[in-house]
Amino acid sequence: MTRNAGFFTNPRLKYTTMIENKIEAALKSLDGAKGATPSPFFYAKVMGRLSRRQNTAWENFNAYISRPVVAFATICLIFIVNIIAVYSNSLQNTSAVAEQNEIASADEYTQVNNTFYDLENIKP
Amino acid sequence: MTEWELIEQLKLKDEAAFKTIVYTWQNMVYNTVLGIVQSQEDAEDISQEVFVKVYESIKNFKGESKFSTWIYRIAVTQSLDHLRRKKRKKRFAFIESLFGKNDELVHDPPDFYHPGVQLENKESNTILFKAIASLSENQNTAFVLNKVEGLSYQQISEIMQTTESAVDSLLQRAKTNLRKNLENHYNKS
Repeated sequence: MTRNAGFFTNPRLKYTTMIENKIEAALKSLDGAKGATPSPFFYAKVMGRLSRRQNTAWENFNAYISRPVVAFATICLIFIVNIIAVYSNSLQNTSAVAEQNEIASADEYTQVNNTFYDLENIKP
Repeated sequence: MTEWELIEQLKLKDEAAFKTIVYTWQNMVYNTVLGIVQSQEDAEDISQEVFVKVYESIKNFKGESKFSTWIYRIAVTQSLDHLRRKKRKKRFAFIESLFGKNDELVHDPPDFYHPGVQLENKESNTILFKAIASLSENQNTAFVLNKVEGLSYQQISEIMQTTESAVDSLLQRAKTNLRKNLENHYNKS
């Protein structure tokens, strides 16, 4: 009785109770809600999406090589192959220079004199 | 055909098995996604993507959890990814607008209410969903799975790969935060 009298006379209490009721109503607004259903052609749409996804082999290959990991690994591989090629080339060059010098000096001391006349008149 | 036989058939890319799976779980997936993303168009789109994922990654399903739990997990992950992408897009659009590159206004989505609620609850349900959207990802997921899908704590813990006590505390915090948000909303209006 005293409580009810307070409720009707105290506007602050009335306001708080009203807010409380609204909060409770919002929290209970999902009670008894029916489940929502997707559109009637849901399965057909899924199948359409799936068939668009099943790419050709070429598209799959493109997608695979455009992956960052694959691209980075390829660049690293090319870089390593290049370093190996340059290194082995520089090793070969030092031996090739020595060989060339040998050939040049050998040519210098050869007495063979090939002229156009010699080539035309080959003796049997 | 049992659930396990369906899964085995799907692993062999059997279309009939896939059709049965879609028809059996489409409402469950759609409802969960709708509760999290709060947009019917987005929910439809994401639900389709969920089933495409199911078809593509069924070979990874080892049967360690229930098939429905596995589908729920994909649905929740896809929905949360969508929300993150949306937030990122919104932030990026805001930064662009600061530099004058994008003059278009970024509109907030229209008010959402669950299509299954009773007519007299529409208004309060709209306000509830606004409050749900402001929860953290985990609290949002746990609340939707519990209140919209009506799942038990045990089922939610399996989907979210956590303990039942963690789910309990998530739901308690979600309810406390919702109360605060709703109180703020009603005090302002």
